[in-house]
Amino acid sequence: MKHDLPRDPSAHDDAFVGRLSALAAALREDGVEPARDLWPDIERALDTTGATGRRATRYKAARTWTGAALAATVLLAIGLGVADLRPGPDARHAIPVARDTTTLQPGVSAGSATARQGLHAVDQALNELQAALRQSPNDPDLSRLVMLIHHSRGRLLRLQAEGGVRDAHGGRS
Amino acid sequence: MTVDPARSGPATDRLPQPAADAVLVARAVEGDRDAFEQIYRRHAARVHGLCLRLAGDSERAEGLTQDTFVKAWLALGGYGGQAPLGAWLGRIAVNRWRDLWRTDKRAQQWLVDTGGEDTWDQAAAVAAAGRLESAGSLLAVVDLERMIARLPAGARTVFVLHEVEGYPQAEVAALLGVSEGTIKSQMHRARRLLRAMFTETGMVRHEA
Repeated sequence: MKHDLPRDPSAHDDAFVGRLSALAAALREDGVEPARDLWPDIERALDTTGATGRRATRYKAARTWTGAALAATVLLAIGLGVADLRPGPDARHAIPVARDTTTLQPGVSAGSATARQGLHAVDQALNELQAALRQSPNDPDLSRLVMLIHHSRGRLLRLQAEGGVRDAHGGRS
Repeated sequence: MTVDPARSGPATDRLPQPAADAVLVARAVEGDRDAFEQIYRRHAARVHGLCLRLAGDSERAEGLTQDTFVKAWLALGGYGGQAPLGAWLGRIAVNRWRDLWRTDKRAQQWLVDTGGEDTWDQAAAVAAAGRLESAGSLLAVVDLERMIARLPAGARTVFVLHEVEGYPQAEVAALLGVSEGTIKSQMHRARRLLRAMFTETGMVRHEA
């Protein structure tokens, strides 16, 4: 290809600029894939910047289950406190009394009502905690709370069994 | 990089891009991180391409791309859909680049330096014009991509913002905090260097 030098350089200049502009504009939608997947780094950055979004939803869920779990724990503590105080060192005497009461008015005595409320709240909290744990399986605080509530529930069930009300609730252990 | 259809969901798979983007944005605004990942997958190449042209190297481009998507996640609630999502993301990338640019003390010097000593060859100009006239091809676009990366920072930034991204020169000047005259000088320099580079490729035989 042979080119004569232009008498008017600006003519070629205009042609060049026009073509260059067209090519440059064509680049606009032309992507260049990153050499590696940047998403893992972006996701980590979203976590550390306290960004809103699903993580916020998790926090919201966490607040919900934390409130329920705390309420359940308080109830449980009250229930256990009552139960622990009631049998006391004379448990062998107290238990027959409770059994007698249950036999006369099943599920209506103050002790069994408190225990039943406590268990109900604990079960609700456990349900919420387990749902939250499915969303945030690596949340160490959540895992610890689930373990704590499970442990407390076991204690409550054992006390209820001693009080003869276990059958009224059934459920998990 | 591909989009996993199982994760993008059947609804967005069959939608045209703007509608699919709108669905994904709505889900992401509600906090759906998976939806936002799909937005990333759909637009990463476009955003990264822009960042690469602005930054001039892949390491900085990756950082800028990540910053762009983090900012986008935080600002997604304010996206009203007036502009295509890709353009909105591009704007975030440009703003982020501007912030970095303005904190870089060398940046103003890059813009002041208009390369008065750059070589200028009229014969090369003729050859370059011929090269572009006959090209109009993917090869020319690929060439241009590579050549943009070789431009000095000031010329490259101005060329990318004005010619590739389509920002008016006045807006480029405002973005970079310099006069419009400086932008014109940098544009002139960019074109001159690109013309020389196109000639260097040797794909147009020039017989004087």
